[in-house]
Amino acid sequence: MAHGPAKGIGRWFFTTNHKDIGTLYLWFSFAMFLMGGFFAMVIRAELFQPGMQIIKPEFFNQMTTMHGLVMVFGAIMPAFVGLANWMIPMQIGAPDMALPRMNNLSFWILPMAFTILTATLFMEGGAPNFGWTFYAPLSTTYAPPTVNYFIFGVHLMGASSIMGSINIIATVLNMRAPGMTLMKMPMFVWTWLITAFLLIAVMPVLAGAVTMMLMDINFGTSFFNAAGGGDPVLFQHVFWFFGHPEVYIIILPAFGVISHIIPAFSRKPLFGYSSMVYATASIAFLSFIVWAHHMFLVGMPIGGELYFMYATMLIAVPTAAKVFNWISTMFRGSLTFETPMLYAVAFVILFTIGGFTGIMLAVAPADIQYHDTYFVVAHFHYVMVAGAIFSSTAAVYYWLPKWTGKMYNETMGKVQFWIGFIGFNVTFFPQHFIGLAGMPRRYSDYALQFSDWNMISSTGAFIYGTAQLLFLYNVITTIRSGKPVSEPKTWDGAEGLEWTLPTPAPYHTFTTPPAVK
Amino acid sequence: MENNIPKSSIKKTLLKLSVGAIGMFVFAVFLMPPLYYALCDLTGIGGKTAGRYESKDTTIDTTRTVKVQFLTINNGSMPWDFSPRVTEVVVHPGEAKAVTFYAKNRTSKKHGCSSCAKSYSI
Repeated sequence: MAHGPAKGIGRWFFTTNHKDIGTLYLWFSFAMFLMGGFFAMVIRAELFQPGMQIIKPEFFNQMTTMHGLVMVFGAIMPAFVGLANWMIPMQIGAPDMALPRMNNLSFWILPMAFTILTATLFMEGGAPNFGWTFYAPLSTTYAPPTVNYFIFGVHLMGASSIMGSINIIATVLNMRAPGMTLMKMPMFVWTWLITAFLLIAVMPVLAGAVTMMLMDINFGTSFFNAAGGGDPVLFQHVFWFFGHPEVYIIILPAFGVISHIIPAFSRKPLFGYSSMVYATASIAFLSFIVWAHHMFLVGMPIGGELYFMYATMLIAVPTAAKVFNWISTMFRGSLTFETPMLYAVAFVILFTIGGFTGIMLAVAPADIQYHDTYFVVAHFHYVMVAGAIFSSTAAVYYWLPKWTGKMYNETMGKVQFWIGFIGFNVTFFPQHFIGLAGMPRRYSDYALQFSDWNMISSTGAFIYGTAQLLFLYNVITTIRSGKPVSEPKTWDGAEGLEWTLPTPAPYHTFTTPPAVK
Repeated sequence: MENNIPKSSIKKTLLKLSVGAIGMFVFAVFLMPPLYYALCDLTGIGGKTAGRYESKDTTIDTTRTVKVQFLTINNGSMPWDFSPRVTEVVVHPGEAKAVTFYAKNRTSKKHGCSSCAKSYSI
């Protein structure tokens, strides 16, 4: 049993070790993050000035589509699956994931999926150009021929996510250390358990949506084709039945990460643990019954609009419970602001801004004005970037010493945070203004009155992009030449089973389960 | 793994969750479309077309009149003149009437002046 990792490159191909697979997921997601970020830089470079300067409108559409797909499915989701692989066994006192071989498979089909998806950029007809939401008939009747590669790629991603979720649920439900009841589980494990159930419920629906597209395009069915008796609006219902829970799939593990970091640097236990658990579960439940707030303009009757409006606003209640719990955890704590804590505090502030704009967008009569403007773009980047990306960055800084046995450079970490924080806000805050002023999203050009704010926004985007390269530099220098640390607890306020393990965490941990009081 | 991890219960969880995932796929492809159409029929929700669309000849409704006004606003920094020749017409619904607009390029350039980077078709 006491053997280390296999030698050579084969270690990474054939590994069934949860830490190796977690590492693979994290590096893969970072590679995808840089690629999706590069697409974003192309978008912002084109929007730096009005008129067409760098790329053609058709390619601009491919960039917005690929940016969305790569960031959602390639960067954010695998980053959190990577964190789950690393941390869940260590946090519940299990020796590994429940299904290690399936774990290997669910990682390795991801690079295949994204090779297929990005290969379309070099094919005749170009990459998918119908937006990451791929509404029919843009993605069926009027799609480029490469749409079939896109569909196959989405099938593979879905299979990967479903296998990953099955693995996480099987691990959490069966392999907890003796004495760790469900209500003693760390918040990250709780949020991931709920997220995994969401994934199992909705990833097959996404697979169903693209399968129906595939049938419509290649086999003459008419699921979404009005001329054949189908209905394009059905596509939007199916897509958002997946798509709305998907946004909570992205954000719930982020909530879990923040629920570890804030108590650690406040040197206080998490305020309202059980309310956190119930709030997470309520958000997950509500996410299934609000999907049509993305579709206020498809021509729903007033009753439907009212129902989806009020149901959506209801989500603010459990979310606010979480935000108040984090604030209460900090209240009168012995706060210190190391890099993970800076990211966590920024998360709470910026995510709350994104939440408020979410409530504005939930108001159906107001949404008629905001729909498909940059206001929406600003809203979902405040929750996706400042929510998911900030928290996964925080998680890397927080657990990196435990993973590698090396401490990152605190000054460099803070510099990276502040450049990223300023860059992010300069990029996305002005998009609220131009959105309210009426600039539509997904266009390669804009009216002249939006010029100034777009230039500022693009400048911020380049700053934010630079901050990510600095993050890569920080992580690599930590691994190669960081100051070695060996005490089990890197952070004096951190609690949890992972901090009882030696630093760096050995290849095999908890081969005999710890006792949990 | 010598510690007592219940292999059979992991298998049971795996089986249940796989059935759940396959069930959701079946739900999406085979149940959601008929359910959607049934709900649309029942409540009249949704954009489903009801029967064939047929073209109809438009008739001019002489019982009503509509006043249409044409306004143009020129940005002071724009090197052009633009205004309607007729500022107001009165028409019946369904009736077609032609109006003309006046546009003048005050620069000597044919197209592509730097301060008006883009022309819009209205």
